[in-house]
Amino acid sequence: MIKHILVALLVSLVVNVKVNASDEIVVVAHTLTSPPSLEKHEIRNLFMGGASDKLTPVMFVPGVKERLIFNTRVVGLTESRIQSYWAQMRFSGRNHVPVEVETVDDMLEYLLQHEGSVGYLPADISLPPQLTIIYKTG
Amino acid sequence: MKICRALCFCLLLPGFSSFSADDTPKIEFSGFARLVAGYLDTDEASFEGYENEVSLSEKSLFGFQVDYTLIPELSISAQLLAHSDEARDSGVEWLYLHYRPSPQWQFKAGRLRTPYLKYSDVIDVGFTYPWLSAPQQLYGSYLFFSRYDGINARYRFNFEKVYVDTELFYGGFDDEITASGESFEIDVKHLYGGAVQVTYGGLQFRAATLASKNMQAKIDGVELLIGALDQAGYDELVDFFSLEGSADSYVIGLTYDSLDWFFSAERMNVSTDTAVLSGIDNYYLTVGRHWRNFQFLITFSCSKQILDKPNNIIPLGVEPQLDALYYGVETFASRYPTDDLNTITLSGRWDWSPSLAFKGEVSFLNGERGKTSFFDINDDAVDFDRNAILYQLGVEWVF
Repeated sequence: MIKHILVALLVSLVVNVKVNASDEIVVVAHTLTSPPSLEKHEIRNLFMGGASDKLTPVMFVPGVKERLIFNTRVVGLTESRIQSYWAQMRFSGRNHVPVEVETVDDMLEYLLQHEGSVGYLPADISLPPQLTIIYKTG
Repeated sequence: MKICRALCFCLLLPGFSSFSADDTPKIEFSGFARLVAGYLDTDEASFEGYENEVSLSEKSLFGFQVDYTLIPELSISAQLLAHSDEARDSGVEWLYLHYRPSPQWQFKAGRLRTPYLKYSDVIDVGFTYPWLSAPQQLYGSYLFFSRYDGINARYRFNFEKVYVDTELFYGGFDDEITASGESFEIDVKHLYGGAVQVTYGGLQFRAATLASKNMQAKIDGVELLIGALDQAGYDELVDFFSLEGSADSYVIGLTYDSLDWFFSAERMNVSTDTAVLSGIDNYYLTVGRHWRNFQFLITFSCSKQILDKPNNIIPLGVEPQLDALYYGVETFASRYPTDDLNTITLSGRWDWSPSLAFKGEVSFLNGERGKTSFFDINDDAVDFDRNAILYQLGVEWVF
């Protein structure tokens, strides 16, 4: 256990994880009607458990590059802070963490299967016609 | 030991996770645990249960939550807690019905946590806040009733970029509370209040109120004193020690969160007509820095308490029974906590994984001579200056 902790500590000190300017994402929605174009604060609110009648957010699990970009560019909070926030929501009975997927393929598959779902993907991905971009970083 | 057994049990359960990719899981299991070691550098008093030896038993706990979804709009939640702290009861902490008729509205009924301070409804889930011990001056106050039996309504809306979250609650509270080593039985027939949280980007303002009406507080042996005072005709002193009345408290808070820095402050003001639960004006300020998976923060906490003193008009030296009554009044009056305390706390947190965090904390406690200052002071420590340092190390886990 102590060895693992030391290794993780060293890795977190050495590895410099930064978001490059070229790392852009798009927020996409699967809706049959014309989806609304959302502002950044609306996307942030939606993915932080805000009330929405029509849209359901889908996130990547922690550790996925696109999630790091999304946290940095849209939410504006560190992963640690986001985890604390969701723990507070869960154990105060206020909200549940959105559905989480592990890969870009999983995200595409989930979005295509669930009307009203909203997720984020790499900006350079080829989108199927059912998905519409509602926000773009950069 | 029971916490260790519960932790081992959950670690051995394969796939024991609360989350799945299903849209509406019927049943979800989740939980939290904390293992905290603390050491106080004085042998003249204890603070939050910590003494002059390393102890794991004051803050360590294990919690287990079950959420059962009957239909998408209706669910039942229960939260069980096992504390290592002897001053707190283990058992059902939450048990409520949760109805969500729309994304904006939520209603709960049952045994609930009081949504009063920013972290008061998750005070046992250390993973949710940056400190190892939330500022004692607010979160350790005996006027903070952590749970109640009643109802809660929540409504959320927004004006452009301003998001508003409102809550109203009503219920009752009946439990024993320990403050500065003294136990009080508190019964509140009508407890109600509300909270408003306004968020604009990373900035969050919060205001809350908690009113406790028809409140009764009992301290061991006080009935005997009241009976004797009543027989002797000292009505004013009877009223003083009868410990019945009401309390109104207000909280305002401000939080700022960014990728680099964070700031948090809360101020609580309490006014009451019950002597034992005297007027309180407490606050804390926290400034912290995010650095990779680490958080470093400094907190200044302050409590000021205005305690009414009884006007002891019983004459001394007239007869032995009156002398005994006089000293009885003085003794009971001195047992009431007077918690003036300034604390500077340095904290560090390392999020080792999305569900596990390590924390370390040093608190420099600076109380006031002649007051309890949240300490439980040893009978023979007459020269204790109310200054001490509390060291804590801990692990926070959610699953």
